[in-house]
Amino acid sequence: MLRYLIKRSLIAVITLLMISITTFWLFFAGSANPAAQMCGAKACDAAKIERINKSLGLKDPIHEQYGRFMSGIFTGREIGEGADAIKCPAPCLGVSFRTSEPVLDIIERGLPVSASIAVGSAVISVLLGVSLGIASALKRGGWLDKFSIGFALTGASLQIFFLGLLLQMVLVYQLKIWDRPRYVPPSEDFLGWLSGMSLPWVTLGVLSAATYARFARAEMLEILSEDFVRTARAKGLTPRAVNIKHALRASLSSIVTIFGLQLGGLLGGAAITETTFDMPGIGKLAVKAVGDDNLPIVMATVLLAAFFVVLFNVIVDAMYAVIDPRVKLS
Amino acid sequence: MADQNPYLQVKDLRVQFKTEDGVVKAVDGVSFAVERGKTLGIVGESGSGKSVTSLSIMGLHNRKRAAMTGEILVDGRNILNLPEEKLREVRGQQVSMIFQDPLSALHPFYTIGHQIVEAHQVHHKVSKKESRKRAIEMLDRVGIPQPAKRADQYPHEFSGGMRQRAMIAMSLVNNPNLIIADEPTTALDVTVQAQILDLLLDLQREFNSAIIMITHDLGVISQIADDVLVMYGGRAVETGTVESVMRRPQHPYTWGLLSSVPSLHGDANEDLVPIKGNPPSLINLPSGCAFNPRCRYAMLGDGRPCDLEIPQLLQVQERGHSVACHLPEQERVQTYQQDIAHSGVAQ
Repeated sequence: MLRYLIKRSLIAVITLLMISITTFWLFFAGSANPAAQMCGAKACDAAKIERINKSLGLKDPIHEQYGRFMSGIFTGREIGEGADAIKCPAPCLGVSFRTSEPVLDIIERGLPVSASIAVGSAVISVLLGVSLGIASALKRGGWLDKFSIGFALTGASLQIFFLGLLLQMVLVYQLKIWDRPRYVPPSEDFLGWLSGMSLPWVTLGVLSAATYARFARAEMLEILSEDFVRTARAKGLTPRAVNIKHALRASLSSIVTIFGLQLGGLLGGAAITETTFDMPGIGKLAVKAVGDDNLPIVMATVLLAAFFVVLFNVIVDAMYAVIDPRVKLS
Repeated sequence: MADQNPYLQVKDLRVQFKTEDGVVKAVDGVSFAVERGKTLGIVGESGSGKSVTSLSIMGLHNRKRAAMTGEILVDGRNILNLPEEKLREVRGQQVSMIFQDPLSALHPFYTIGHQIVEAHQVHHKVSKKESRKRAIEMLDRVGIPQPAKRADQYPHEFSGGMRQRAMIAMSLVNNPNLIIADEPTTALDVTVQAQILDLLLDLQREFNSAIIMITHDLGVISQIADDVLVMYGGRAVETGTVESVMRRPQHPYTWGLLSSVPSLHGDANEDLVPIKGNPPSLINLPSGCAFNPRCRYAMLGDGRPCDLEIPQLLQVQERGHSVACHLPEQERVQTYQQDIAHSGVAQ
């Protein structure tokens, strides 16, 4: 177990390194011109751009810039020159090209927002989707099954930016029966947090529930035809015990897989959801940073998203060993 | 083989499934009986209806999908009319089942002990501790060494033979009066097969239970059964004591089955004779005798009966032996002696 974790952590570190190099290289391979973005439209001349480039070292060879970025994570660094220099203590992910604020502080502000969206919608989607999927597998061909198939198809076809905007327009602005989406820290105002997050949760939760419903239904149908389910019935167990203790238990590992991977993906920022509901999370931050050629934030958000995906992959693998006694981590 | 009070009596059982392609007549008018302490072997190819019959006795068919008529009397009660709740009391307690592949028939996520305890607790209001004691006792009885330790292991930690022993322990934990064994040795090595059959016979003697042994292996039948029922296309084509059916078979299909089995006493260079063709589609059975397209002796054309009339299962001269075939009995006996018997039969 320990050996497994050490091995997986090493692989995770290498993965993140590769991603950071690729992101860095891709940024400069494109037409990014951060200096021009920073200096603004007015009063911007070649000399000023030159000064910015020089102070941030943007014209240095890419590997040198990358080396500075990486060493900053471990030792911290000073960014800029002379009196304008900004101190960025370790772990330093750089400072925003726009506001000169350390990137870590910006991420720290956005993360609770993204985490709130991710956890809330994941809970809704897994509860709703899995129960719908199981119920429709058990009553195959019935009205609930037909509804569930229709729901899964609709959910898979609808986009969050469409449904989200529609719901906001109708429920929030026209009928005024739902609170405007906003983020307040739960520690300050728990009820406000709940009501502010509710619309993004419901929208994203219901849409992803469609995936779960389809998946859980297929998985359950397959498992209900397994021999060990027939054995359970042959023992004289009640249908409830057969369905829950035997069938659902066996389909758990695949449900946990999608749950883990989805949550891992969402924690790194739900870019479209956050943009649709104007929530200041990591996803929205990343979208804006890409438009602004704001390299340090792009790097940080990409790495953060990659970190969560890698982390949850390891968690899901470890969960297999908990759920399925045949799986040994090695 | 009919007795005054057989534990299980199946009378004119018909099981049909509606599918998109048509109605599958999986079992079409089958009758038999088994008494306690006796073993009935049901033989046939895949699709002959033998497994569907056994699942009907367990009441395991989905009643919405399977249309079942006839009677299945377990200890005098017709289980086809029992409500699901009453049926659950029969399942696992009075009638229990041993499945073909213990690896897929046991739940991979629960320990062997847990699964046996569960089977015991469904039908007994006793503490977990007592059920566990009983489970370990059963594991010991079926010959699993260190039963207390093995009870805490998962099915994948058992060998194939040990798994089937565990499966048998689970089936017998409630002392059932009838055990249905559906190809219990098919997934096992030959050496292990013999051990498992011996174990079943031992347990049968001990608990005086009735056994239905479903198999396509005539060797297994001759080893453990008292009576045989040969099924083809959802119907019984020949039935009788093992002695009479195996030594003096009268149905061309039974001949085919026997000729396709290698014999210990036969000539080593002799070829096995497979039955030509494939088992019939149960949606669209051949007219008349379902076996007629594959039968070397079929009497066809000119108003002769084999593809026109379904032959009835009729008693032959020998007591307790019935055959469903249009050929005259005299001719059947002669043909068997001249054409088939010399080729050596698995006994």
